[in-house]
Amino acid sequence: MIGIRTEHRRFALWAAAVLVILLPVWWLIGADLVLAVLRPAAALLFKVSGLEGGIDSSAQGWFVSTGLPLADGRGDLIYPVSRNNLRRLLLGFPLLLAFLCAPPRTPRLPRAIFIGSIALSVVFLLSLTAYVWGELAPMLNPALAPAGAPPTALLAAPPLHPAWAQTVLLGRYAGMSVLPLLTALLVWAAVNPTGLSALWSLKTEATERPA
Amino acid sequence: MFDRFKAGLKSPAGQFLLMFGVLAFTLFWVLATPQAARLFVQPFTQGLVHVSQTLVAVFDSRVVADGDILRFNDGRGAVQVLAGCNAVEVCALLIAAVFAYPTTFVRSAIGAVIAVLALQTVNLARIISLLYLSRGEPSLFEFFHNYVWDAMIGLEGMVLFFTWAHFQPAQQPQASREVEA
Repeated sequence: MIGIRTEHRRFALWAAAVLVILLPVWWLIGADLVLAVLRPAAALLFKVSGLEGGIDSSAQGWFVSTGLPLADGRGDLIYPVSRNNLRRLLLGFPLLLAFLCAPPRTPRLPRAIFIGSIALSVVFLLSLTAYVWGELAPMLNPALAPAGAPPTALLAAPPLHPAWAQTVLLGRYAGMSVLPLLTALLVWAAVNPTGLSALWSLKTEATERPA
Repeated sequence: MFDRFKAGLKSPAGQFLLMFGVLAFTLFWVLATPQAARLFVQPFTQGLVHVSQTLVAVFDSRVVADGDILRFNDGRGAVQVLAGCNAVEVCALLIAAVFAYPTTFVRSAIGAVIAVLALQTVNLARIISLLYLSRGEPSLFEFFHNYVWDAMIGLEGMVLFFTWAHFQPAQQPQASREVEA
């Protein structure tokens, strides 16, 4: 790690070491506990967003009642969200804990964890809703399916408005990739400004001038 | 309160966050379109698969590249590299952060190129390690795929940005730049 400042190295090594312990625990236990707590809120948000909203949970994941009829007439679509995808959407929790455990730390850790949990829960719920609608959008309008994607079920319902379709596709894309990381990072920066300024500050000539 | 918000937006950190948000949103908006998937993400991902195969071929001739799939030729173990596994998203965030930082365009461009190369180098290690996990330890594959490598690449992106920003020269404050102009 030649060329990397001591503060950065300490932060990265601490965060990585904490993640080594936290990630397996979160994967095996923590994520399932949070999923159980957030399931009613997720069902409510699905309903608000226009789906039927019921969620059946199993070892494989969640089965979301969409209330949208299948084009082949075999009833309404029950959309499965795999347990692995659900756990992936919750990656921000262990990341934030690792950032908060790495020096320089905030002196108000419980408050930081509380604020972070609320923010990450909200982001999880919105990402999950976008994920499900992002999966449904190509079933409503096959032109939105990515090139080379395997054929999916078709729904007998009007397609989403193009702007809404693009929004949920964007939400699905960001939620499954960088949103958990970005949320953890922004929450860490907001609740630990001292730590942020020790690792990084926008340098201006004014700030560098001796007082 | 509104004045405080306005003052916050005019501060260097506020302007950075605003610019970062706009750039990141724009990049993701474009990347999420089917056209971007067809014209950029898919060819780039297939390129990654071929580079991975070329690297692995140095010590293991059983691995073949097939579109966006890297697999063993005996059928025991394969990975399909999809959006989210190609580190394009973390690269987009890093590019947005580097170009939002108040420094010259050339410095930002050099920083972005180096950061993307560093991220993609680690991403090649991710793809190759996941290929071997899919063959040797399938039970661990999803854990490493969804958690370990995502966390490590995110952490790497963060440290790369902080380190690059540390080496940027101090900028003149906005007010004095306007006076000089």
